[in-house]
Amino acid sequence: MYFLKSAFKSIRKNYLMTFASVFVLMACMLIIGSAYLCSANIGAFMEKLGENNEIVAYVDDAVEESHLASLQEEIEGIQYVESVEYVTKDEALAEYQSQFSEDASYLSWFYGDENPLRNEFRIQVNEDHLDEFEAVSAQIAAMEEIANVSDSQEVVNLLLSLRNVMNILGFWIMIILAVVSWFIVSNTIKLAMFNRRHEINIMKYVGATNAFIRTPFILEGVLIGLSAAILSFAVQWIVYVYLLQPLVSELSFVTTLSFSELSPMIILYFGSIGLLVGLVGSAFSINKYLKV
Amino acid sequence: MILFDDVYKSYHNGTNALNGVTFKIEDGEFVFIIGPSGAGKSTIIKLLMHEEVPTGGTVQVGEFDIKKMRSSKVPMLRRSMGVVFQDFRLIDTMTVFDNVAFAMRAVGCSPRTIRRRVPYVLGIVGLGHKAKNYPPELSGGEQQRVAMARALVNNPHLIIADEPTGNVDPEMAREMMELLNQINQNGTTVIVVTHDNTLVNEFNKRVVHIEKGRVVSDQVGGYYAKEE
Repeated sequence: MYFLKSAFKSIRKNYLMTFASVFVLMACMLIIGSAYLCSANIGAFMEKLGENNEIVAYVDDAVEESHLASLQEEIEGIQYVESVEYVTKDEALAEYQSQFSEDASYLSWFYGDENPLRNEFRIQVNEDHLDEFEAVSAQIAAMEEIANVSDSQEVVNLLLSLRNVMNILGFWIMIILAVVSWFIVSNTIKLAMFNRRHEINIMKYVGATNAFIRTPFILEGVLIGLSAAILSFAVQWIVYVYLLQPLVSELSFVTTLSFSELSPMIILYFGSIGLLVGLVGSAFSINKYLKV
Repeated sequence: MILFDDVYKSYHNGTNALNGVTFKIEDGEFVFIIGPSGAGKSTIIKLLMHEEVPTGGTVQVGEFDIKKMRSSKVPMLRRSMGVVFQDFRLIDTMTVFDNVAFAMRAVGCSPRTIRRRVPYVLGIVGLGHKAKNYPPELSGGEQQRVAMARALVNNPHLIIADEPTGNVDPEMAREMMELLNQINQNGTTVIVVTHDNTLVNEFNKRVVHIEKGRVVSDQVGGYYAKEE
């Protein structure tokens, strides 16, 4: 109780520096949180795309129906191919019509009752080998019986590189900000100790143990860290739910992950950063005035 | 019991503060340690408090051997003594009550004990009515008595007063000495470190005279008076 009172007293006395360190810590947490939210969303989007990492191979019209089974086997034999599905041109047409019911009328207007589509194979590439996607696609395209191939290669490549950049950037930003916030918190605590060096000195003279003197300052560091964590969480939540999600759904077809799905990790991140920085930042700055 | 046995102390800057100091103070004694400034008086206080460690010889304070003791025991050593510093070392932003209570909190007393003990000790030094004041609102003599109350509050075996007459007027100084005398009558060892001879002459007590880091005389009675 005395320790808590003492910590609060010090925060009150030193409120400018305390606010500064809370804000810097918040900035640190918000950047880390945002990086995490982005990366989680990209990850989820890629997963969706991965489920959809389809190569569509259109079969040349000249190929006999009896040959299709052996052709499918041949494609299944290619390395990294996960599964192959055969779709007849009638099935494809029906699917197309159901997906774009409004626009499908132009098909019959153009072609009458004739089906303009080709028989096709839908090929899934193993998710762990997405980097081989292009090779697989090229290999299938090279087959004599295949008229042409369409795939989502470019999108996959883009997302892969985006995620890599995000991961590397996020990592370094996190390291830099963690160092900065550690520095700020430890300086805040140092200042708090400097303000009370007189008191600390007298405490030493009347026989207070170092642990006794240290406790309020460590508590102060932890309070700074935890309040930054709580505030950051609130800000992150408001920005994500009330600003980012409506914006994204307005501008694109991408669906974002819900905040409640991501919040456990964010709480974990913010809480541990706040606690760690507060604890370490204060614990390391205290020894200077204890040597009496 | 306090024992200085052939104690040497030199600082890093090359100053030899003590050059073989030997004396012994029994429990319950009242001793003046006198000498001009620079004689080594404050070094003796620092050694007693384990603020410094002797370069040579032995300093024994009760059960503690200052040179050999573990630093984790230093708080225990300091709890066994109360020191009234020359500059009082009060905390200006705390009330008189808190200044005294703070010494009790630092050694882990319960709030209840503190609430009972602090007014009692403030009463002894005659400051019961000033408990809610802040140190800057008090006179020098009153501040000194707050420092005295803080030194007394944990019931130490030993009271050390560093230049108790340095920062207060003669009337206050005399009152302070009476108070120390009274505390001594109750069995507490009292060491008064000073360069003020009039004070020493007035009280017929044991006087350890230090000069240039050595004990030049150790006897009962006013040293300066004898010289004349």
